[in-house]
Amino acid sequence: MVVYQPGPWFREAVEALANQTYPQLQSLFFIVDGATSELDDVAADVAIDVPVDPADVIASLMPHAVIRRVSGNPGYGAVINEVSRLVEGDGGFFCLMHDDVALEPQAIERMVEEVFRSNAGVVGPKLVEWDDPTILQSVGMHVDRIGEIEPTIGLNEKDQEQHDSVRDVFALSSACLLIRSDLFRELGGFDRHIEFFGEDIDLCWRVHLSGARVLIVPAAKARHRNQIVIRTDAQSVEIEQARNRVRSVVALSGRWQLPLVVLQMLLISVGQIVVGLFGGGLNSAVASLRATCGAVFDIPDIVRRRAEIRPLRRVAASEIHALQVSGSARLTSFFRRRSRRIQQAAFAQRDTKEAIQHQRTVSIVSIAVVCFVLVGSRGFVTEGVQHVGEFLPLREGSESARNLVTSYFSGWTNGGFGVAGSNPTGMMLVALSVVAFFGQLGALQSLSVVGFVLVGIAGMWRVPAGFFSIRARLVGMVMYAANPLPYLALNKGRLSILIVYAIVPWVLRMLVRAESDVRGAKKTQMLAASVLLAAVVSAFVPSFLSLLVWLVLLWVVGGAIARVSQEALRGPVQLLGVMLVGALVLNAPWSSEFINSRWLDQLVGLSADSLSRVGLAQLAQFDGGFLRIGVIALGLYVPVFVSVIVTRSATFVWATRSLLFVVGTGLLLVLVDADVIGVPTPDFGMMLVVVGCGVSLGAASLAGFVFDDELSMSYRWWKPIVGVSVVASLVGMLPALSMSVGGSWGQSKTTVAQLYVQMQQNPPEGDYNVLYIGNRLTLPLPSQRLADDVFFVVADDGELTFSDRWVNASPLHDSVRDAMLAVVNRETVRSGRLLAPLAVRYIVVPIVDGAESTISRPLPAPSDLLRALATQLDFRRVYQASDLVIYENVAWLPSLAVVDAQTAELSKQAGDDVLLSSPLGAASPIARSQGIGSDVFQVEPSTVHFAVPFSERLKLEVNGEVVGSRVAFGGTTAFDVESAGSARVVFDTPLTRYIFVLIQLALWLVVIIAMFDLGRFARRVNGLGK
Amino acid sequence: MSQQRTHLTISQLVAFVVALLVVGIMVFVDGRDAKTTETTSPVALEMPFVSAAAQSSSSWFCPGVPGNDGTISGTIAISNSSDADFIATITRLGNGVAPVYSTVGVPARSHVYENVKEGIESPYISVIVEIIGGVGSVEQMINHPAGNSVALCANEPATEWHFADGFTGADSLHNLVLTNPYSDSTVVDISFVTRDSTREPAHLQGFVIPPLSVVALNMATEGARNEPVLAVSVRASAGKLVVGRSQHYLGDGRLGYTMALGSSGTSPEWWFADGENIEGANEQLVILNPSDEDVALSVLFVVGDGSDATTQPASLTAPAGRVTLFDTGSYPGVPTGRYGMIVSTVDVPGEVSPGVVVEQVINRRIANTVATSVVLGAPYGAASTIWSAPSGVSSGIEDALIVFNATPAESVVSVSQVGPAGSVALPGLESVVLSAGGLAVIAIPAGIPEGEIIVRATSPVVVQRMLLRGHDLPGRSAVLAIPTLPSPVDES
Repeated sequence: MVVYQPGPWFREAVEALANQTYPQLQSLFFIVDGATSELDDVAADVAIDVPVDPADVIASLMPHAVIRRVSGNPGYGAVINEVSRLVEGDGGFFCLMHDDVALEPQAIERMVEEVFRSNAGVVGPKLVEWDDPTILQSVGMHVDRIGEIEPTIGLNEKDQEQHDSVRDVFALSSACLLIRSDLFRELGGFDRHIEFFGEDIDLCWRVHLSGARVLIVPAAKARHRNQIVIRTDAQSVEIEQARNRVRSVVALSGRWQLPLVVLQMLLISVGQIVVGLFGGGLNSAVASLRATCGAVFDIPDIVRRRAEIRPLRRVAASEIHALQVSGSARLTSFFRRRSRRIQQAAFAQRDTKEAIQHQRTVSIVSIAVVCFVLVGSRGFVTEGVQHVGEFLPLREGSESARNLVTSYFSGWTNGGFGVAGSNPTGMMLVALSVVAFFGQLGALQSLSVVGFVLVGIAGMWRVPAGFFSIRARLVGMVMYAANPLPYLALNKGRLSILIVYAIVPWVLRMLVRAESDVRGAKKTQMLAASVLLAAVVSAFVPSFLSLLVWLVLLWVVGGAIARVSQEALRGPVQLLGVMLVGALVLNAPWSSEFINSRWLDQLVGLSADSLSRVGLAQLAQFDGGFLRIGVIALGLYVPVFVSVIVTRSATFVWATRSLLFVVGTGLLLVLVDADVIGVPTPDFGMMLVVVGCGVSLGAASLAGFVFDDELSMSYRWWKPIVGVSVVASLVGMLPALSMSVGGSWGQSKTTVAQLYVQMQQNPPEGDYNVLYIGNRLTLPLPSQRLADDVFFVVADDGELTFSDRWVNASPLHDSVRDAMLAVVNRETVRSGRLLAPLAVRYIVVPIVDGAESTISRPLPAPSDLLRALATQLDFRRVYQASDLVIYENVAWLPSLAVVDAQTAELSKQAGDDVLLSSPLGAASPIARSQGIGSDVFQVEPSTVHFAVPFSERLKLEVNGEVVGSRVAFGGTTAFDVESAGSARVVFDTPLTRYIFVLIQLALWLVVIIAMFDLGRFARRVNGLGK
Repeated sequence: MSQQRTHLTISQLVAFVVALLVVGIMVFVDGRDAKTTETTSPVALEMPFVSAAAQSSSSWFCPGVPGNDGTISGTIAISNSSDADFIATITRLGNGVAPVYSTVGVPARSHVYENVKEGIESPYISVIVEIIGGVGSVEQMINHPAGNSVALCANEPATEWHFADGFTGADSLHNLVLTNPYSDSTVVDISFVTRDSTREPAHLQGFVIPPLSVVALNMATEGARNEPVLAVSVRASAGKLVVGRSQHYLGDGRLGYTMALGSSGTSPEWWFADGENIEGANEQLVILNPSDEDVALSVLFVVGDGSDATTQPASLTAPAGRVTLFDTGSYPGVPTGRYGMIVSTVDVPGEVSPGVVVEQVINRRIANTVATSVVLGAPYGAASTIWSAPSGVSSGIEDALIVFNATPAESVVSVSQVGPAGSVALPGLESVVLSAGGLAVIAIPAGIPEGEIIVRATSPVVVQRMLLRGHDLPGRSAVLAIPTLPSPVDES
């Protein structure tokens, strides 16, 4: 036993050792220097005001014990290793103990018996709490591959003999373990470099390497104070633990597993820091990362240690890995904590007896829901997300964090023709996400799209927290998960719907909180969180703000109908105002780009006359008629209607609001869809999320009422109705369940995007733009309306990527619109010439995109448009099939080119007549660089034409001299070069742009800090510094 | 546990009923037909027209001119009746030669003539005229020793073209002139119908017309030698084209030369302004039914709004895929003299009959010779209040213009000529009254200068020109004027 700063318990520990029934026990005590400082305490326990040396205590209780004093404090391992020197013989055992362990009398005897019985190398007793022996403390340790301990018992778990079987474990606590003396000697004892914390895992790992077994012997029992942390600095404990863990892992892991294990440690450490910043555990996270990185400096020691251990490796590393816990012990621990909270919520119920059963139900159903989503999404993991709809790919070139940040600061938006102006805030947020995922763009995309569904489901669980029982909340959550809407969005690549699906429940939760009496710092936090939420979402889905208005309107009206006090309703309205203003301010200066003629389209949505008819049946099914059995999803609506006639009092408020969500939004959609009212609305799919929330909360309300009344066994008039609604709901879940079978939610394997590669990137004949035109739903990017149901969008050459979805308004889009209107209205057969200075080389009409329009369910082809395009003299058919038509505009001019003399002269004029009168010609194309600008090129006195909107900040540098830009063809940019030389096109970012961005960053920081309680944050940072 | 009430509250009942009502409203609204918005779709017509809508440019695709015969010349008339100058770009296409581009300015209220053969040599030459920044009209004129011919130019290429009439009897020359104005090849399937059979020669299926070129097919060598009946259909499986028919009649009752644009589709109704039951004139309606269904037709003869304005319509059936000949002279009810004719399909109740293509052939025997004229009728929707003749009319003859009132109301017609002072009505032709469903045969005074003739009416009419054949040849050639569509509302 190593004695270090013993307390009043020490006497009891020695007594327990003295009382052991094992006959041949010899005792050896190491008294570490410094122990005397605590002797008063010991003395107080033994004889008041009489200072006693621990050696005296030992001597008084165990006269035959050997006592050795150790100077300094070399650490537990180093001290205990002395045993092998001081005690001779290899036929016995060492029972190594802390000074705060009190063994039951038969403990050592039983451990020795078990060693012989099981031929074990190391055994250990069941450890229980010192003060309350009915609480378990340790029954062995399971460890994952990075040395993290997975708890085998719960917090304050009662000892009900549930762990009382002898079994193999990966490690035993060093508080008390019994090891064969020969083995201990062979292994060299504990790692001498580990003073404390982690020496037990290290030793047991090596025991496994040597081929010996490590067993827990619960029949042997010991009380353990386990308060070494009190006797040490907490900060140093975490650092020590992390350092020792990392050292053991890198020294003991197999050669081939080592790189992966190190990578795993790094990833988990970074993840822990992100989570720890806002959710606690920051210190240990930093310690973990520091230890992982610090291993680099210990490489010589590690190499040496691996060499020492090599002779001991009798078991393959893979077998050792098999003994370890797969996955992450920390993650397991996290889920356990979540489970505990649910358990606590369950216990908070009035009926404690059934709380445990409810908690189990919640756990099982939650796991089932997560499994359902993951199983349905398995194809996304194995094969990646198909690039359909809004699921545009993230590429290392265009979506690298560096490129995104550079573009963001540049003040030039690349989407479409490009235009000088503010870049979307979403660009910066994507850059941050890319960094957080270490540039793993595929993983980012796959995880985010699936993650949105899970976030939404989790949000729905949170919405009625505090109002309904956990089972009722569970019903709401399941109903939300059973809605076909998100899976159809995954199928069709409707990212905006997924985002809204994920976020709306959380907004509802905020409305719930806003309606309650939240004050002071809590209110500030809530408002800041809501602003941040609205800002982030609107950075990707601007029309979310209008959806927000609708949501709050329904919430307030529903509350008013259910007679919620005006005072309470003021909170949600205030929250709405803050969210709207905050989102616009945080997205400034990008939000200023909405000030144009299309602001209503961008911030709200399209008006009825731009939308094709969907029909009530398809709207109500949530699936747009996608599923053959979709009609049975109507069963999901039954509970919300039943709830309003069954529920009472507070639950009735929820029922009323739920019903209003359903019928209010439904009525609006039907009126717009039938073109009865011509108001613009957000995307129908996004609006249906509100209906989905109504359906879920309605079911939760009903469940809440039913479960509250369940103790009554008497007949209630509503019970048959509720029974019907339960059956209807279960049937209504089938469409969503059926979608999960395929593995990718029925996503098409072949998409039109695969055919776009026909249009080569950066060809030698010059860069160009592509005009996508046709049905709005089949176009790959957010589009503008041309006429009736024909929409268009322009993108540059090459593969369409996520960044292309950000297109700011540009006057050149108006030129495209005019040219294509002339096509549609048969006003000219030379629209190719009108598109020539805009560098539009290809005109693409997607018909079957693999998402909204599939081979089996194609949308009608825009036949009038195709006929009109076929009439154009300058359009050459490149590809014509039932799914896609591509024309090449043979009159196109490269995006950046030196133009011939005639074109140069024509470029000084504006108007269609100029363009129609003669074809334009390029003398030589110039390669554009990523983003705005060009590579260096040689130029003679001539005119350089650039098919981007005119901007004075676009400049041509020729031999260092700046050539100013001028307007060409009434909208594009040209440079008249007067002297030959090396030239390049540059964009001169204005200083104000940097200032605006810095202000914006500051505002984001302020909101983030406000959201996370500045004081708590500062305390953590300060603690970190210490 | 709080005591549960066992009855509904008023507010619950109201909420539930209102919710059901809203659902009812949703169902009701959804069941209604969606409000249809008035959209202005471009005019689609099987014949050329001048667009009344504002256009950034207009294009005219002329059917072609024989280019390998020095005795034949071709001219393009480009007329500008507006008050603003415009530029016209002219593209000449041939076979195996590069297109020839030129530009010509057309001053306001004037016209220009362009030689088709200038700068290009090819067996057949087709011209595309693109008018930029103004309203104009274009026609193609061929000066042929066997008789001059004026042909309309198409507004745009089409995927199908039909010719109801054709003739290779007595080794008459029947050339199909196929023009591909695109940078892509156009692939066509050509079929023809003779008196005995329908033929789809294998070598004319998937027939490729190279980009920017003109291909002429002599139908006699393509398997239709000495056929008195020869209807041709051209359908493009890829791309679009313009098809004209060059006919040089050499005997068997037909003499003369015509060059005509085909019909770019079928129509349920065809209007003919100049029906003739006159001594020496032999009139025949040639009806092609390119569909695979038999079509019932009625032929209505119209002479005015009197009690005997119309006669009993003739009924006939056009068999599927066949050509039907209707010799009007043999029909007992045909009026004497000039009359209008309306050939229309008769729909079976509950079904819409497919359309047909109808051409009128008149062989006018004068002394010991014959003058053959062939006119494609005005299809359904072509009637307009404004008709233009960019190449003008033949002056000094009694029947220079035939105007057929297409409405059951009286109409007033004025004939004007475009000159430096703008569109000025010809003396005596300021207001010619036209009875309901009646005809007006209008003489143009001799000696008027060349220039575009514009016919304006107070209600939609159909206008046909009768033209001198030149070279002192007797008889007339005939061609419709060009309607302005959508038909402008008469403001007088």
